[in-house]
Amino acid sequence: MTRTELAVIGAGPAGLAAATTAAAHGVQVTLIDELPAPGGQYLAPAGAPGRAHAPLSAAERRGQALLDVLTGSGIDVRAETIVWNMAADRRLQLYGAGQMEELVAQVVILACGAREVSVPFPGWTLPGVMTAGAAQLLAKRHGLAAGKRVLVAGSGPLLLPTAERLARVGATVVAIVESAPMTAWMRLGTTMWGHWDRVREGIHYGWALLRAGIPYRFGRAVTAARGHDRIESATIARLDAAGRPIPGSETAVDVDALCVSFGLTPNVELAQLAGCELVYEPQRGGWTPVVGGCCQTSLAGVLAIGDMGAVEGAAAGMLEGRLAGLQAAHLVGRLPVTAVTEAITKDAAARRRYHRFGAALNTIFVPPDGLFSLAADDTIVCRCEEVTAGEVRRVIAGGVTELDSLKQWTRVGQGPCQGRTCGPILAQMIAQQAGRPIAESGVFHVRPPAKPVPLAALAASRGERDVA
Amino acid sequence: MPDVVVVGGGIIGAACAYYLSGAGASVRVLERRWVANGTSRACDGLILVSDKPSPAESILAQTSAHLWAELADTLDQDFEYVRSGAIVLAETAEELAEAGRKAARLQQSGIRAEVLHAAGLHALEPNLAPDLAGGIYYPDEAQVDARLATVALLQAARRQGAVLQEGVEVTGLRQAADGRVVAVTTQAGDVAGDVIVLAAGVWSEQIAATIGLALPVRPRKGHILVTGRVPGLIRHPLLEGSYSASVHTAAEETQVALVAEMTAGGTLLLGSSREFAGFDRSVSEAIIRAIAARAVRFLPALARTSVIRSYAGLRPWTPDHLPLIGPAGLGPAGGPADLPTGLFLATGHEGAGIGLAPVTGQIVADWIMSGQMPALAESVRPGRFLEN
Repeated sequence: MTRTELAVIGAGPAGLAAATTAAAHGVQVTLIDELPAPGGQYLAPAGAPGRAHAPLSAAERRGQALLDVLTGSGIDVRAETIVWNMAADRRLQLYGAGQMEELVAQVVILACGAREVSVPFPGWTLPGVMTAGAAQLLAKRHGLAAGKRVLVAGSGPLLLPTAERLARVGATVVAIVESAPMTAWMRLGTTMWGHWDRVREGIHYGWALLRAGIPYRFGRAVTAARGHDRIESATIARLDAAGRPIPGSETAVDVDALCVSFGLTPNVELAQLAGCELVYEPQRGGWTPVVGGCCQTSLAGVLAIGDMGAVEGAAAGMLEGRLAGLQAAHLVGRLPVTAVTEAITKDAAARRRYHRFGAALNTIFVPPDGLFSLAADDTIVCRCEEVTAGEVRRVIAGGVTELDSLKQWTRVGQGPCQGRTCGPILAQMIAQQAGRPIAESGVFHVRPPAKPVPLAALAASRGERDVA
Repeated sequence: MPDVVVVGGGIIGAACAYYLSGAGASVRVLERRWVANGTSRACDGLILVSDKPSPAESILAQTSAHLWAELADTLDQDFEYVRSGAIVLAETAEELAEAGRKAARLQQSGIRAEVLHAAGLHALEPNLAPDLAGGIYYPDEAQVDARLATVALLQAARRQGAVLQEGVEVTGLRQAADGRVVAVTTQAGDVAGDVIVLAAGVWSEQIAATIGLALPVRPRKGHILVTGRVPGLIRHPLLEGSYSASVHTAAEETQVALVAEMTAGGTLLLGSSREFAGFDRSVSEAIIRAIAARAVRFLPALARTSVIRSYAGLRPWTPDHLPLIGPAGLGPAGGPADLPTGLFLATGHEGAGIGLAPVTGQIVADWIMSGQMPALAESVRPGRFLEN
């Protein structure tokens, strides 16, 4: 067993800010991340030089600066390390470099980020159909394009940089298909005030798309992907006000890749395992830990920051990370509480602005209800266990109203991803079919390990509380 | 035809509902959360006859095994029944000799068994550790998916007219002036019935306690690990030789013995542990480490496989390792304890609940419908504890 003063889980922008801030105040910090290098998906290091990279935004520059501070900060960085269990007493089970380790921290900052939300449609499991995030990583890391002729579809601001980057690595992006109507951007309205960095980014991407001749189509969605061994064409339809495809409006485009994104939802599994209280807040991206003014969860000494606490982007995450770093320094006795309260006061207006903007994005750019009827009865919704929409619908018709109950009646959520992908989809399917608020569908119960760990490493490991 | 209220939507409640509704009773199943939410989803799906040392338990297990085979043919919904056979593993020559003596005893009560020496064992299961001395092959053991089996029984019961109400928590029992149990209490009001069948597993004890009835049932916790897909890694369920002993000891300390079961989906379920830990259902890292260590010892090829999930369930333990099936003997003062009255018990199966579910349902249904104790029930009648 190892002890540390502060464990930060997740080395994306928020986690980096928290770790470096706390370390600057003399706190002993262990920074843990699953990826090979710190930076998260947002600051993913370039594996391929050259044209895969656009000029950095202000937030990216701040993130890079944090990575520079990290070098030589004395922070114990554990890359390629999974936290597979966490207890309320801040006892963490790590797996990295083929080894298990038990780490007990005085303070834990959860900065586990968010994952992409998907909507199933016929053909979404075909090779060549992927999330926008996966396409971004391919391009960032390896300079590879997801395909030669690519369609980018879904909803929200992530579609733009995805299309732009794909174009830069040599793909022909046939179109961006956004399910929200064009007026959605207008609804953002005054919430954009002050987010000049984001506005500049938006304008940059807008121009880049124009220059590349990529059409940006609103109020439409991909309703099916077709092909034999992989995607060969995608069907696009216009949507009515409820988000249902309008019959007769379908057109097919030939593509060899389809990148889909419907925004992000927080990764809350570790918070669940530890027993943090959760709440369903669509403005924050779905199920999130209940957090207070200095990012504290319902558990003593456990904080949650960044997209994990509310999907608001890197800049908001770094601001919260700094605050959480100060709070951690206070909790281990390195800073007076006044230093934290001053920072809270100073950042309050900026944080409100991020919350407003984030809340607007998280509620405007969501998959419309009508899209959840795209899946045909034979379309798979739980990819790990290959459970079809028809099976799920039959069971919901039989009276099932919660995710964990659905898991008993079918096999959903029991595979390697443990419901990370299908959970939000099934919650929507239950809510719509049963006519109940989505929060009442609940969230899949989580049991260790949070992520798969090799049996041999588990067998060879030791813990303080082992039985003889 | 009697109105029967079944408390509990686990495998035992499901089997009771199925056989009762099949016999013409009007059945209502009350489940506090949802089907198989308790112990019936947190277990393996083995239907074993070879681990039951007492003749009484053995005859129940063999009867139930036949009923499972019948159900696999008759129920509409598939629950992945496979008559897979099972192998009890012996690490050393001494263990093999002991296992052989046990097998010989079981053969006398009609259970088929075959002693395997090292070569025979590895021919059947090439991925087992090469140093094992051998094992006993029991060809008639079977397996199901416990959760699907619960669902299949309840769906069949519904088609026979039973009503399933999920999200209704039974908080207690209500007695008439003469002591007969006439209703269950819930937050949504009382539900009356001619007979109440208490099939709430480890939670039965709390419900019975509301009328001062002390059931000798304690929660005994068991852990299971689920691996990533390894189809074909093993061809039969495998049980460490000490498994049966770990079940039958009353020891307070934690027992760990390997049980490995391949599911239809290709994931492997790895157990087992037995531990008295109250009603705590959380997963203990220490125990899943110990199970992982046993698994790798017997199946070295598992080393590279991942654990994707773990869970713990509470098995309803009784002092003599036999379930409580039959009337609770609450009735007009002075009446015999086995007289059918308002309250029937169907709990206390510990780790054998999946296997013994059909025979339990059949005993409960026969007894309630005929008013006579079925011969099979002699060893499991609750009167053995309740009359004094």
